[in-house]
Amino acid sequence: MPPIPVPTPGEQEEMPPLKPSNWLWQSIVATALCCLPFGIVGIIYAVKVDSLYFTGRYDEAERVAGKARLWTLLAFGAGLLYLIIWSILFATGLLPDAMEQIIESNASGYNF
Amino acid sequence: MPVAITSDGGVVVVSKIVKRGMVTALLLLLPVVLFLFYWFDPATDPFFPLCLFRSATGLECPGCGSQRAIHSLLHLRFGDALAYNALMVLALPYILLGLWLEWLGSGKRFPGLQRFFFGRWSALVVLLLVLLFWIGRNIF
Repeated sequence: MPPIPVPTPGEQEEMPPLKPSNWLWQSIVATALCCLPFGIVGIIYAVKVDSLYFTGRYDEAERVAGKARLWTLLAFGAGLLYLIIWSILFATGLLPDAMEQIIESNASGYNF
Repeated sequence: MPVAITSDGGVVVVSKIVKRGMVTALLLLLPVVLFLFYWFDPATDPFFPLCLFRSATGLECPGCGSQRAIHSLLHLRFGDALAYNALMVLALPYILLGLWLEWLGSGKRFPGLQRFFFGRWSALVVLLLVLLFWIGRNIF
């Protein structure tokens, strides 16, 4: 009979931590609603979170999840900032000439 | 961990309060935004923001057309919506699924569903789809 492997102390009660959120769908919202290229960076980190977690590298997964969160929030922040700046420039008529021309030629295909 | 005392004497983690505040703000803002996108047409009204990427390069980004697609969806013109931005339209049910699983807590009841749709392989597939859509819409 082969010897039964004796678990080393600490191995028994070691439970993997909960998987951190990978922010996948949130970064897709950001990508599909505009805020390039931050949203895509968020998706790349989302891929990494799950790869690391399921190979048992929990600490790294946690760290990368933080980055996924950062870039996704950055995407939303950038979008919001652009919206605010756009509103101010549009209301005051201070939009760059190139953009005014696009609007005047009614090229609505340029709306994101 | 920073905590706050609520009026009824409970102790709540501050980050939870921030999260609740953000969710409340989003819920209040959502009908306003939906009304704007229903009432005004991004295809003809001038005040909808232009895409910086498209303005600079003339190429379409993965998000181009989302505003017109939302307007079309709100008027139940699904064909138009797909033509404006198929990625956004097709991503909507996926996004709602993610919201339901993660924010409404259903992920705990359906861990298999969460792992299948939001695990590493689906993340990779999503990334590829977005990049292919980006390249494809500028070629065809």
